[in-house]
Amino acid sequence: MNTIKNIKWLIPLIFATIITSCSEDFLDRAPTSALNEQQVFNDIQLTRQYQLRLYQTLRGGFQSFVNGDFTDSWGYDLISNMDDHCMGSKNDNGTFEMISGGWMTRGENSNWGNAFEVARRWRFSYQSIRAINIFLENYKNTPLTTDADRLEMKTMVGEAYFLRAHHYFELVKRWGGVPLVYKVMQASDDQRLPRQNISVCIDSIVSDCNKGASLMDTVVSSSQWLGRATKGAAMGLKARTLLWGASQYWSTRGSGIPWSDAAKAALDVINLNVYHLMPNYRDVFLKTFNSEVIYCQNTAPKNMWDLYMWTPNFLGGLTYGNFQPTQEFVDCYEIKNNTTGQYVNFDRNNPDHVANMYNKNRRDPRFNQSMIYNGANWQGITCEYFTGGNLGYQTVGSLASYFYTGYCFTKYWDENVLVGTVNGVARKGNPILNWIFLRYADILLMYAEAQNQAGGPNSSADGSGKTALWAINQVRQRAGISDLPSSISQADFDVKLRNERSVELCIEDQRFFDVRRWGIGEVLARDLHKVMCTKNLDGTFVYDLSQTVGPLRKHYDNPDQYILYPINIEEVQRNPNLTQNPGWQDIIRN
Amino acid sequence: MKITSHYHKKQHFMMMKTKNIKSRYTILLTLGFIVLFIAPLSAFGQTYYSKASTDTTVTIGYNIKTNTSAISMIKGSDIETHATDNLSNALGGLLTGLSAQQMGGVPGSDGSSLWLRGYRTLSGGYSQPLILIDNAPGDYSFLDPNEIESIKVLKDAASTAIYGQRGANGVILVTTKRGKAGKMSIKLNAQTGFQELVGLPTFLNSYEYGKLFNEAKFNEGSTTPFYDDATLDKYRDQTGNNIYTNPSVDYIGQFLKPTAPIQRYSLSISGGSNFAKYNIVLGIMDQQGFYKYAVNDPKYSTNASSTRYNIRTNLDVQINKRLNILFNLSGQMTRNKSPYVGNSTIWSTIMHELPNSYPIYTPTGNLGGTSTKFNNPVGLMSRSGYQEVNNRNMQAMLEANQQLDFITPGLTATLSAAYNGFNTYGYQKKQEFAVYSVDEFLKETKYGLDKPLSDGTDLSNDMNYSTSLWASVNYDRTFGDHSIQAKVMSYLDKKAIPRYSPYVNLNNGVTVNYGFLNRYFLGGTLSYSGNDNYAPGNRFGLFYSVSGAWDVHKESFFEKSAVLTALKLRSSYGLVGNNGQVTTQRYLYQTQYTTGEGYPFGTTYSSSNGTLESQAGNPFFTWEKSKQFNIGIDGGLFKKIYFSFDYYTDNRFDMLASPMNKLSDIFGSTLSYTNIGKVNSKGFEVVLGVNEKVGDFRLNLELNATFSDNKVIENGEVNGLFSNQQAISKQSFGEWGLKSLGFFYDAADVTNSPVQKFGTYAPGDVKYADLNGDNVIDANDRTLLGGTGIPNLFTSANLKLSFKGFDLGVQFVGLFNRQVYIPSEFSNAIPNGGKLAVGAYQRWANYTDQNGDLIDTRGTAIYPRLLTAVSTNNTQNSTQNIKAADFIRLKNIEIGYSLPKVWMKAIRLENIRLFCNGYNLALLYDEAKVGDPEYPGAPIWSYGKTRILSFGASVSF
Repeated sequence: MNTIKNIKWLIPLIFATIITSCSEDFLDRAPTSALNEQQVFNDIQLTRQYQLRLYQTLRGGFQSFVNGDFTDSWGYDLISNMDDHCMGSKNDNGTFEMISGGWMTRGENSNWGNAFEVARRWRFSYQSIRAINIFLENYKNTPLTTDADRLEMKTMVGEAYFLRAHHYFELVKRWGGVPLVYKVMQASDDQRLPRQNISVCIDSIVSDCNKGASLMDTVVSSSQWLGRATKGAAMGLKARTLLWGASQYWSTRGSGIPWSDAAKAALDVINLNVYHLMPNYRDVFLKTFNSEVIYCQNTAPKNMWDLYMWTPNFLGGLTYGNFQPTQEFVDCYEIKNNTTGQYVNFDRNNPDHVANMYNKNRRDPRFNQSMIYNGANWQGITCEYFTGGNLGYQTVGSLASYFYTGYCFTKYWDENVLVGTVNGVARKGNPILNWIFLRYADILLMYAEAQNQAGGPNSSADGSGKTALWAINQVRQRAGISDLPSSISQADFDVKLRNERSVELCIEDQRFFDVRRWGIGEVLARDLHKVMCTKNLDGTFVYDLSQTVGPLRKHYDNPDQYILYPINIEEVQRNPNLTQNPGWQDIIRN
Repeated sequence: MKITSHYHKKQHFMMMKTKNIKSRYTILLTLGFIVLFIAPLSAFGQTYYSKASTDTTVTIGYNIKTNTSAISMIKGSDIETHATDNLSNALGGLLTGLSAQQMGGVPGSDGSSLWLRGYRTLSGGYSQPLILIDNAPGDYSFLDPNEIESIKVLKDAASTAIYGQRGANGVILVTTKRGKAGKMSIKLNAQTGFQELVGLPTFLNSYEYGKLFNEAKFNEGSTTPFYDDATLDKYRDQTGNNIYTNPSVDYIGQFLKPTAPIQRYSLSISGGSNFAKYNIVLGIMDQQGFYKYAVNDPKYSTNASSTRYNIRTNLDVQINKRLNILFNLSGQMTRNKSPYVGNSTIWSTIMHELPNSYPIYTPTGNLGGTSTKFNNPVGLMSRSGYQEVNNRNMQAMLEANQQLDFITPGLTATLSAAYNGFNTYGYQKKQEFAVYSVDEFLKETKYGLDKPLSDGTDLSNDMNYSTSLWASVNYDRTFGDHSIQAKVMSYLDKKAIPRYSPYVNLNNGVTVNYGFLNRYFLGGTLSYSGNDNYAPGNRFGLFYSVSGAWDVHKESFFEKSAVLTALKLRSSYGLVGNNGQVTTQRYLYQTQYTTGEGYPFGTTYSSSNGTLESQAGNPFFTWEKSKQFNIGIDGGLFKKIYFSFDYYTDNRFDMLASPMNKLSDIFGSTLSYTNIGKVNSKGFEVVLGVNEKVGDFRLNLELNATFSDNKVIENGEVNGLFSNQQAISKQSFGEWGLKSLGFFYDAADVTNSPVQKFGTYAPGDVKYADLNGDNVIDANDRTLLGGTGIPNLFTSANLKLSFKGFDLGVQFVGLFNRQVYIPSEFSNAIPNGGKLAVGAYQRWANYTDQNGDLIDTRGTAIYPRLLTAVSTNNTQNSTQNIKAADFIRLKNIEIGYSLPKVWMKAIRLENIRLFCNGYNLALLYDEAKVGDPEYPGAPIWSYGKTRILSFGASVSF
């Protein structure tokens, strides 16, 4: 019984042991399958993977938003659908919703509607910025052992700055001044940041571009990395940002950017001597990573583009004709005056012009290189845009709801690449569609625009022969049309320049924003026209350009609505410090 | 005593046929009510026997003593012979503060959901009380009632603060029976009875169905009847070949037995010496299903059934005069069976298959069916194979109590360790059968093949276990007028589910109960409680309570009072936590990264590898907190009436809710939950009881009411909602839907009413209220329709009478201010592939039938017009299908007779008690009048709810 007596101290002893061992460690049961921040950024391979995945945040016009993220939809939802040069024929996409006023009633959780381009674009941009900020806050922790690693890291950091600048520019061009986040926000931080004014935003973007340009090389280290950003991309984005800042809308709202800065930045890109115009305009869009591309979004091969883009009733009725050129746009192509040999503005009231509308020898060659029209030849088929023709107007059946303008874009479409057969019809197109964010011709036009504003058509930013006129004529010469005369006035030059941008950069998601920065957004709401072709008994055609084309667009109540997007209603409710953009304050949630 | 197994005849003799049941019950109830209301008025004897605990110190978890807490308790003997197989079904109505809802009757899983003091968290939050058996985690619902000494419900912070992060929803403490020193006592309880299904729809036969189907077609614009008169006549005339060519099958009558047996036997042996005491319980419970055609072969059975074996040994050993050891070992083995296709398929077939689909048997005795219908219930029940799930629960507990009076008198220490293991293994064996269609010439065509039973395949195979450990140093001493009970304790438990991270809790606590003059009491608890789900550094929280009580009647100025014979005031306030999570997402504090697909660089168009942030961590992620206040009064009148009243408030904050409507996109990521929710609850509980004794006559009547209500203060919802859409300032739980205004009366009514955006509609379809006033009826007109299932007011009346050897116990429960979802199967399920029930006669109709008679039920209709196509307009969640369902139920009756002591002496037995009891006997009030109001969907979706009638005997040696 002695042992039993001695155990009287046992329980207090055990108790004391438990109390002292009751430390936090006992509760450390967290799973180990997920990586934490230290693990990722202490490992060069994981850090590299993290940085490379930041490129996933690049989303161009070939992708649109579905259910909170971007998915490929093959041009289904191009921003160009919202400008006056292009009409979407289907009404079940976000851009159509937006221009027809749908964003006033659609909540962000609707499957389509403005959610795509308004709410989700905003959200996605900030998600992208967060991902980039995580890298920029943590890359210094990554051990670098070799010179090659150090060089690579320098480039990767430069790319991250560039990508951040890209996302802020995407935000600013849509919404104007936005909240700026330059650190990784924690759950405990107040997210209800106010908007910064436009000059702070532009300065921030330019600053990131400068950092990026200083760290990146002009070319990628090997062809396997084609698609990564370069010095030229950062400098080009800077030029674009400054052009925006110098433009009418922003300069009158305190951007403080002079045209000369914008011109200088564009000329710096030209003077890199890295980029060259492709000899053939069409090749720019068919050959990936060509000498004109400054930066683009790499995408996997696609073979559905034609379905959405091609004029209705092709391929046995499978195509949607999702976006089609308007007559307003077709009018932008200059036509050769047979007498002078000079290319002049197209005039609907000039019977000679109308009669030769589709004359390859008269019209700006880019017309034929960008679209098809009645009588055009495409993949061995003569296109017949008239009642009874093979692509004729249809008023009954499932396609009756699709409208026709009488044209169809072929800009991104390689006539010769066979991608499949549908209903026995060979489908040809370009299976590889990298979305070009910025190309050299755009830089030349930016320079021409800015330098003309800064010093006139015959001035240059660096005193060299690279004048505004020189720049625009580079683009015109490549297109195959006559130079602008050196005697052109500053004002006339600007008119020509704006037309040149429309023609050269059609369906590259530029015009919609150009007209807004120029302060002429109301053109987006004008009546748009189609061409009605009638075939005479003798085989000739009559072209009627007087008919407008539906569906009707929203004619905004307030001219301010032509300039900036609204901020999604829910976001304004979540963040009461966000000031709604002019013209949109009265939107109510429904 | 042997109970005959041929109870079928007897039960019919004893228990009358279903038809008569109602009238007999009514008589019984009337008697009950007379007793109920007359008894309190009459003055019987003088002896006062108290059930209120005004004088007593209550021992709660970890042997903590309290005089100041809000607690309800019952003894195991109160539920010893309760007819139900599942303990959780016995608790609702017995324990004040606890409300219960039984969801169905599947043998082996027919338990009730329990809420303590109502539902107090946000919708979707974790609302279950913490349940402990002998202070260790475990599932009490499958214990044999004979194992139980007491069940206590801890309701306020004074009693739950010691549980820290897990106390806020209240605690249910189950204490098992221990042996007493003395001669061996043996008690045998044998009980057998039967179950009856309640709340089943009454379906129309083929003729009735056909006629109304024609109406539905007519409503859809058809001009000729779908079933012509000749066909309908054949449906009506179920003779000759018509039963094959035009069958009319009564699925409920044909496939479900009117009753199914249930039986329970238990044997308790207890006794011991001063050195060692023991209590041993063995229990067997067997509950059978209702399937008429089930195989009941010695080799296997396909009926739904649950068989349970309980075993428990509780030992107390006094090692020496200072050291006492408690050792428990217990286990529950359960085997649940069903046909291979599962109970829900069987029930779904019975509830949906059309009466005219096919004859059950063909003229040659084959199973009927069609080329697409292989669901002949005879086949499903007897030829589809079977499944069997075996559950094994095992608990072990070792507790040592050491007196440390050699340090200072009153000092003791306790150490306790427990293990609870659960294993489940299920398997199934499939069989296939052929069906035969019959054409008008009685020619049969075979579909499918008859195949033998396949080899078994795994159905479930899982295990989990928890270990727990607690230790305490206790001080319990009285100094003159002062008494003090204090405890310092530490507690940890770990629940391990293989392949997941374990759940770990760690608690340290101090609790003190101080008394002065045995009249004034003060209590205090502090606990420092941690859980592994939170960020290091934020895992522990401090919880507390302070409480006080005053035994007023012990004051001298009260001693003389003949009216107020007892009075005690209690109050408590404290902070308690709730770390239960409904989401399985854990460690939300962590920022996590993952690897995945990257970007396609170069011209190969294949993606590189990428790393990305997969979860933004929230370092402040924490548990829900609850500030609980309780004030109570207990008292007695005339030494025969006792009462108790408690009022409480429970203000919760840091509740988990999605922040996404508050979190700006600028954050750049998502957070699935943050602690932004706030809900305020309040309520009261009343107990009013009376005890009487006149000679050999004893009476105890107790009325209970638990009222609870809450209001959402913040739930993270988006700003700018219409007031009907706002959840804030409404009750936190319940179903949302539209308010029905009845049915469109005619075309003008359709034209003149706001447009409804739920699909097409016409006169006779449901018309909804425009709650937001925008002249359009859409999802924005939804509002909170009420707490589905969960009542705001839960009441019960418990009556106990005894006279000489006779005893009677009657329990009523009433659930008020509640709504339930009423499935369309009670009226018109045709559009959902179902049939018509009697409810269909209450549909809206306005047409001229085949005979030229005008049928116009527009004035009385309670269901929309019949349709054969799904009407999305009519099937919206609305007050049309979510209806108020208050009810009062005679939940339990027990009548017993103990044989006279003199007889016992002669046969040398201690006691023999014969009893019969009934569970879920009848509804006294039923607001919805569709199915069983507790959960009308039970038979439609899983398995019908049951009424249980049993009789038996308890024999003590």
